[in-house]
Amino acid sequence: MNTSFRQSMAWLHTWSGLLVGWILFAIFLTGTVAFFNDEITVWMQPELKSFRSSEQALGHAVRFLEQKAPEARRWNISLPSKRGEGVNISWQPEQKDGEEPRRRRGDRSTSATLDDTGQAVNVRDTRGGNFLYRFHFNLHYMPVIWARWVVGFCTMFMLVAIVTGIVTHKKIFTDFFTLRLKKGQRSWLDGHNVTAVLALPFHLMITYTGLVTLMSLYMPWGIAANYKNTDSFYETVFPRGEETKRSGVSAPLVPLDDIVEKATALWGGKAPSNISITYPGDSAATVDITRSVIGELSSRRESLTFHGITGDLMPKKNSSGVGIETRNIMINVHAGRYSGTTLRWLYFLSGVAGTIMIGTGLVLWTVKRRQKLPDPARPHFGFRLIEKLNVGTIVGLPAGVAAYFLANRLLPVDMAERPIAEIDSMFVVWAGVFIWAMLRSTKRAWIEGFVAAAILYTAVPIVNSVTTDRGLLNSLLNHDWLFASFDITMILTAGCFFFLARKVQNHTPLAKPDRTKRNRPSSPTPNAGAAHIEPSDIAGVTVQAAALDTSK
Amino acid sequence: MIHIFIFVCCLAGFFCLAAAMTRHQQELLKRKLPDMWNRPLSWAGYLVLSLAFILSIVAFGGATAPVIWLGHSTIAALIIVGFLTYKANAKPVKSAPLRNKPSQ
Repeated sequence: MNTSFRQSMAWLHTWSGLLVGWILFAIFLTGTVAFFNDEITVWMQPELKSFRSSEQALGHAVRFLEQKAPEARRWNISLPSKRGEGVNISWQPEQKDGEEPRRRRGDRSTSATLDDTGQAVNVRDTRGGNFLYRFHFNLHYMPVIWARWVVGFCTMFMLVAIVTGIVTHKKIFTDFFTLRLKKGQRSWLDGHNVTAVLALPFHLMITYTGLVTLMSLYMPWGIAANYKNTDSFYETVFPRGEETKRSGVSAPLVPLDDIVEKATALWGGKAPSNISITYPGDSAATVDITRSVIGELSSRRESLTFHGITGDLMPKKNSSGVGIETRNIMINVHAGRYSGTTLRWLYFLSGVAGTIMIGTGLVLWTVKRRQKLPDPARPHFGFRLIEKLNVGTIVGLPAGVAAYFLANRLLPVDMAERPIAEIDSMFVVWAGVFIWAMLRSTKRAWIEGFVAAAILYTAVPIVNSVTTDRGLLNSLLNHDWLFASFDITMILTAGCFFFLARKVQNHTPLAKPDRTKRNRPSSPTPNAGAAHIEPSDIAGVTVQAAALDTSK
Repeated sequence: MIHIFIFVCCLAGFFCLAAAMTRHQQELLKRKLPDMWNRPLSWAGYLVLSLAFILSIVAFGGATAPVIWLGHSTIAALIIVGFLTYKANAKPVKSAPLRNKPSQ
């Protein structure tokens, strides 16, 4: 071992980052977008006009449920938060003996979305932002548990890459503000460093807490040593409470507004987000009420149970020990569900920085090695593979996300299995970019890929204004900020991709400093040459930033 | 509103920190400062950043304040980097014709 500590860490950083870089890029990008998952869902269901007043929402919901499902075992009402969604209600029919409870999310026979006036809105079927959120840790087209292991493995590598990256970086403070452009490899390294160092608290936090979210899967031994099985662990930690029985005596339900008032007082003014009523109309009815997560990092006392007839607070086994509370807070910090709009954007932009960090890191690997190749015009198989994977992922995935949004608007509204078709279109486009990258020279593939992504992102607001009455102009006129900012973000993203395409187009590889005399003095042909793209001016600030991203 | 205050403080803090570094002074201040300025400037930077932190604690409580402060300071620092790079990048374009003139 002649290598110094720092060199060995640099080696580890390079290879741990490269091995899982593409999956990490996908996890980071979709995770970043998923900070706005509710907003994306709202955008993807344009039938529901933006929801403003929530005062009467509860009354509307109860009236609807009383008509629709008076005999149900349980009603569930999701109240609108400030994130623009409508009132989502669902009900669970009384199950017959021996029948398995069969509930599918979004099953329209037992759920509905209500608008301002309490009418059920026929919204299009979509997985919305939740698909991107789920993809971020469940991936797709594979069993969920495998995917979570893959994601956990990659996340662990991410943590290793971050720590070794800190060790490897020689001048964190001297180079803190340094981003030198038009200097080839130097610029790539600067771009990688700046996005890594400045958002380092975010990267460390998000990676570590990301592992914590699935810790009982990755490290099951604590549970295995102390509990008979996983179920008994969950039963102990999250007790479901006494299973009540229907009494058969009908009694009127307590006015839910009173319950909301009591709960809000107990929470110090925080609003509820979810109310569920078990055995509505029966004298044994209970009301569970859950606090909105917005503005509250802790999960203590977040759900209360009231008697459904008298409205009294019912005692509840409080399970929230310090360990559970710590875990819950970490998950909250990871997902940012508690955050208001400003903090959400800060999360989003930090996530964009992380996505750029991974992207620049991947490209840096090729930039650094291209000059050292025996013949840069004809690289060996491994090098070519990595170049193609870079194009396919860094361009392909954002293009796929745009296709997902487009499919939402273009597919027939009453199509069968519509949500699946939307998701498939994302992967079809992503795969298409991969195939295209295989067929073209690397430089052409970057340019054409960026142009294609830019066109797709430009198309989103256009198609939106053609297929719905909620185009950009209308939403600006109607102060519909959610729709407006979504469309504007799409346009900015498109702009960044056009900008990147131009940058690659105009790029000529730097004259090679002829350090190694052994190398043939080959002038790299511009065509096969260089997957280099200059990390563009940060002048356009969020820059190719948003470029690699989307949402809201 | 309080977000804007915190953000501006972070921006000012990182501006001071960058201005305290000799290599960035040309872009930020259009001239080099004597070395004796560097230390007070960096202290000023840390002070303003701490002020932003205190502001966020007062406004949001101890639990969320660190998250909000880190978020604002990350973006503020990225903007300072963007500004520095923009300035450094714009400079050679202006001076290029000057350098070329004698040779023409």
